[in-house]
Amino acid sequence: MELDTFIKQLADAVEGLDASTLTGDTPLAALPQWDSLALLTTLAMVDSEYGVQVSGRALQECQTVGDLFRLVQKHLPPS
Amino acid sequence: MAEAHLQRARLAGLVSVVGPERRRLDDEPELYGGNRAQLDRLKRTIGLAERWVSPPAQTALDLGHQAATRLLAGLALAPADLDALIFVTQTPDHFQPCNAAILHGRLGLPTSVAAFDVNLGCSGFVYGLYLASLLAETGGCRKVLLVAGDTLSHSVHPRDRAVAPLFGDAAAAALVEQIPPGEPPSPAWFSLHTDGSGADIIKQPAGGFREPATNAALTEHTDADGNVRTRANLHMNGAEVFSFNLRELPLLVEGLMRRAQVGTRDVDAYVFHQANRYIIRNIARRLHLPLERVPMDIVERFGNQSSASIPFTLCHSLGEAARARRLRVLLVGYGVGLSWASALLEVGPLRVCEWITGVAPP
Repeated sequence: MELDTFIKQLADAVEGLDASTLTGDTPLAALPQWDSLALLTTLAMVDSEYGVQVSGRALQECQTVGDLFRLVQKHLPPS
Repeated sequence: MAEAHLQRARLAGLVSVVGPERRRLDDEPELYGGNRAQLDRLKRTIGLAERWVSPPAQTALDLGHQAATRLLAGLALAPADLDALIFVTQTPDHFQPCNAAILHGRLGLPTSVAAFDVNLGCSGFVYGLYLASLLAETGGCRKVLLVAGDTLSHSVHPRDRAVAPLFGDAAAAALVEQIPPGEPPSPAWFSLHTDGSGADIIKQPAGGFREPATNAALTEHTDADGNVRTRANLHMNGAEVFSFNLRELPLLVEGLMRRAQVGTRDVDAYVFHQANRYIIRNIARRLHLPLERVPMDIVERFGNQSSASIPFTLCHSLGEAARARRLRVLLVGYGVGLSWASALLEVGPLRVCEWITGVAPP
């Protein structure tokens, strides 16, 4: 699982996000697009791209883009 | 496991009633602090535009009464023809007596009728149908009146943007009857589930006995997002609900279809509880369901109608088809509890399958 790919997928899922401005350290709270709707579209993206259903609570506890990435990584089956 | 396969009960008629007052999101810009862009995004993605609600003086019982009266007239049934009455609601008139008993009185039913409420929300119609079918098939009841509905618009705080724009008020009445001996069976499959660890995800904490309706319970609080509510209001964690839906609903539908040995093309319509267009489209795509067989446009026009949304969709999106011919339908209810359930059954041609706008109280 690649961070760059994940960032692109995140930017596709959340309207108004620009992948080129995001890094693993970008704080989510600093992004005006990171609202309740963004949570839903991100949950849907993670499910459809990675076959993983993370809990809403776990998603809400993420502070940075990198936290999101690691949350999904954690749920992937071992390869 | 709560999995059933029934043969000798059938749905004989359905009437849905919506609250008489229309509320449009465009008329309520203050809900989003005048943030038009956010409003438009929500409308586009979730599917929210208008809903139909009841005035404060009108309850789910009133709507259910209107639906039941219309249904009985349409089927030319007399009160004495009924053997049981089930009322599914989370917004009853009182803690006691139950809605079913009060409605029993209003309809003038005989005392030989079994009447009781079922306290469930968006999974409630499927649970109610399961119970009504059992009463008809093995419970000695030839005709069962099933009523389901809520006035959830009365449960939310008007300045809670997370939930205030979502809910419409509605009730539906269904007649479930025993198939007379000699007539062919009507196979139906049911699958019912619960996850109590999700009890806090959709909740109206105060007003019951755990947290009585004291002044503290009725104090307004503002959360980190600027939403206002009291402990006596209904609240929902949207992200957790969505996550639960993604986790459980595909398994539910796949499991039921496997048990019934039907493929996606064998089902005429997939009637999901109309929570929002986004989740339904998501689940339908996951399951590779033909999207033209999955109604998903009810919320944007009528709001989330709780347990009435499945029967309302049957009446609104499939009424004409259900009156004309036999349909195989798969119902999926999911929500507060957490509770979820699915049913696969055949309906139609139905003598009555319609929706009407409720009559406002005088």
